[in-house]
Amino acid sequence: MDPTLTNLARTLEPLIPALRRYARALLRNRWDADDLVQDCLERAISRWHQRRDDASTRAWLFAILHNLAMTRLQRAARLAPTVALEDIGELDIARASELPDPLAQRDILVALARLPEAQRALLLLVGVEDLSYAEAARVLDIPLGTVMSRLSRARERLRDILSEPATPHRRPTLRSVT
Amino acid sequence: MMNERNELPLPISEDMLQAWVDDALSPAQRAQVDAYLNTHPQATQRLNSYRHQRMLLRQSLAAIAEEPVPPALNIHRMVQRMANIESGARRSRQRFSHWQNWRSWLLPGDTPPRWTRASACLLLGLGGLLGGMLGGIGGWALHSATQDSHTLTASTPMMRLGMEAAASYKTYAPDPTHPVEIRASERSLLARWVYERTGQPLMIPELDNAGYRFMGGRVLASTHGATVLLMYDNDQGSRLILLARPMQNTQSQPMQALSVDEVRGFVWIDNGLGYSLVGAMAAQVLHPLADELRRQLQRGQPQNHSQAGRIRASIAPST
Repeated sequence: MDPTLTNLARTLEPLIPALRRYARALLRNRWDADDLVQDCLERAISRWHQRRDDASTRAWLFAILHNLAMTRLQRAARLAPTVALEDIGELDIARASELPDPLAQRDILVALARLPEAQRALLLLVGVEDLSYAEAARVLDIPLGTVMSRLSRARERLRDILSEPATPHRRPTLRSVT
Repeated sequence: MMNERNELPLPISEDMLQAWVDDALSPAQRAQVDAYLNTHPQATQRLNSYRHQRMLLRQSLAAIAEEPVPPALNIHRMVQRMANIESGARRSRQRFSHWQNWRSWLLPGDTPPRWTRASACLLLGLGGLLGGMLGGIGGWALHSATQDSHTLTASTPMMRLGMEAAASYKTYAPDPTHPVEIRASERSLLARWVYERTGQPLMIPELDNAGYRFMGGRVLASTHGATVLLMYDNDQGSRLILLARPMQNTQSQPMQALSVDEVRGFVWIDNGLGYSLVGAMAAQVLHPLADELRRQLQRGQPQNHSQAGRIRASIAPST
């Protein structure tokens, strides 16, 4: 086995589950998300020499994936500017019965889907993928100060949405890109 | 950003409160925020709510990271395929011969060849070559879906089936009014018609769990006998065509990937019938759908329960 290939596989393989999770949470579709992760990994393989060091590989991969996701979402938004929330469905996430608190968790995902993409991406990177603020700044290509203020706005916005009284018969629509 | 120097404590900032939520504070700053929260119930309520949403988000997304990694994301296979694309390109076109062995561009310092452009060139190159031979249909490449990628000659039966599928796609998929002759609502009529024309019972596989609904079908003529065309679409209006017809070679054949202009697809043979799934989308998107169709067709029934459950688990649970 080629030592470079072994090293490459050993570095990339442990990161795949988190990359799939981030992609699916952003795109809300399993096939699209895995397709995106494949693009991301292929890019990472062909640009392996560009990465700085092992410690930053994770953030580097998230940056590649994030940029691919934004390109794809923008393209999708041009084709279908608004999507009914119901059509987002259960967000392709997991079987509801497998979740400890299915209702609350579906709510949080629906609420997340209502955030602007930039806020959603940040909440996922920091809150779910455990990237440091500095890493998130690099992935999103924004200053650290912007990371902090956007994080604060995103969390407050999510709290607002979650505290809205439940109106089950409403058909809210969502702009997929803001 | 949260510095740990033992200087005068910084005044409480919103950034510190956010970092408290993420547990990203130094012990000293954490104690400072804790003390602040003791005397500020509103801030406490707000931060606890943030912590709760963070926890819910993690929980609800945790299952994705626990799923088995799909074969398409296997790193070794991916590297292999990328290498095959390049070596295939080298074989097929002289002007790519200066490219280095793929291993060398994994080493730091080397300039990687544009393998993506290479694959596009490969398809275009073959398209020019074969397009002249076959006429009309445009660019064409057929290669194994597994790691040992080789280009088949224009004369293989599987390639002919794939070309028929691609040609049918171009003819019928863009049709806004009559993409199918018999609609999904008349399944039994379609089944009877197919049985009369082909002598084969028709099984209509389902892709509902992948978001594709069965639209209907039609029977087409081919030099190999009547051919059944089934069409599917999703909410975005993206259409798929599954073509099925008898093959001379009745031996089962592994799945082959095909590419004709913007149409991608897969071809396989089971029980004497050749099948081809085609659509205008990435091969990586089509591959799992083709696998699923093949499973259902081999079993002779649309989706058994365990299978449906497994797929639903990864797609949308029905409500």
